[in-house]
Amino acid sequence: MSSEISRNVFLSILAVDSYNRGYGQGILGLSPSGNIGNATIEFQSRVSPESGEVGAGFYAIAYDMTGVAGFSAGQTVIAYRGTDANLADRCGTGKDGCNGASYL
Amino acid sequence: MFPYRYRFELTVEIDTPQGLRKGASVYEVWASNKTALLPEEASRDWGVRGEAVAVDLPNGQTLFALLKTNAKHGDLAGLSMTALDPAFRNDIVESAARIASGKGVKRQAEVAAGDYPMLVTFRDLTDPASVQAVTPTGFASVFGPGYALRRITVQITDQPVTTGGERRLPWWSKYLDRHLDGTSATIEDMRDENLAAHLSVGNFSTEYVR
Repeated sequence: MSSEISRNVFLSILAVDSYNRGYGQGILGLSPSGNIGNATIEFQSRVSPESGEVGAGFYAIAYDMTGVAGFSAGQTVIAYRGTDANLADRCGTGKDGCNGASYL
Repeated sequence: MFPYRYRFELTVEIDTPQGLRKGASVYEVWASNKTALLPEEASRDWGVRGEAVAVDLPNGQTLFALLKTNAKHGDLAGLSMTALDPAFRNDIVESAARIASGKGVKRQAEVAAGDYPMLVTFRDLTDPASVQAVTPTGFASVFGPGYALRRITVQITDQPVTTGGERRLPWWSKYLDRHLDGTSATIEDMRDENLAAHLSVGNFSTEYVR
């Protein structure tokens, strides 16, 4: 497997992980801290129930990617819930509006 | 869809050298299905209103049972459903409907140790950064000989949601956007092992910001 494929697969895993941490998690019982492979969880956004973030459905989590193939030492990846597609051009970049979000 | 609602009272009982001490708080749980317009949106919405249980101890300290748990569900909605609804299988909305109807559920129950809310106290109540965790079996090591957690119970009620707890935390209004260690509550540093870096006023009450 080339490093480019590994990098994209790892980013996909982190994208899914943002739905399984914080609040309203898809998978219950995961620790809010720790690692996914060599990626270390650094920060998460506010998860207090009364917060504006939770009210808006927003959640983001940041990872230190040191030691992960395809990333530089000290590089940070932030995964957040939602799509990065341009919904006004739903069949354009990302194509999530047409095809949904796939992770592989 | 209109949410299902129910209220329950959480009671914490502590054995002390001077006898039993209790504290209780009433919460409201609501849950509903909702239409998800995007694939990333949740299809269910739920929440809990209320304040931490506070138990005043003979040694002058106070034990707080927070609005979060270390259990799988992480909040008091899951705690109450797990304790009161034998049919609960992570179906938040269905369980809320059963408990709200009163059919097939318990009126009161003891909370299993694995579902306990997070228990904390302050070495100095005027210093929010002095917060420390109290494990269910560690009361004597924190408060002294003769202190032990007896049990935690839940009971369905129609009493009003408990309010007024801010009088116990004199600094609460200065910490609405900060963790108890003073750091911004906008982000949480998951590498910090200090408990005060992970708790905020929101863990003690949903009513402070109303």
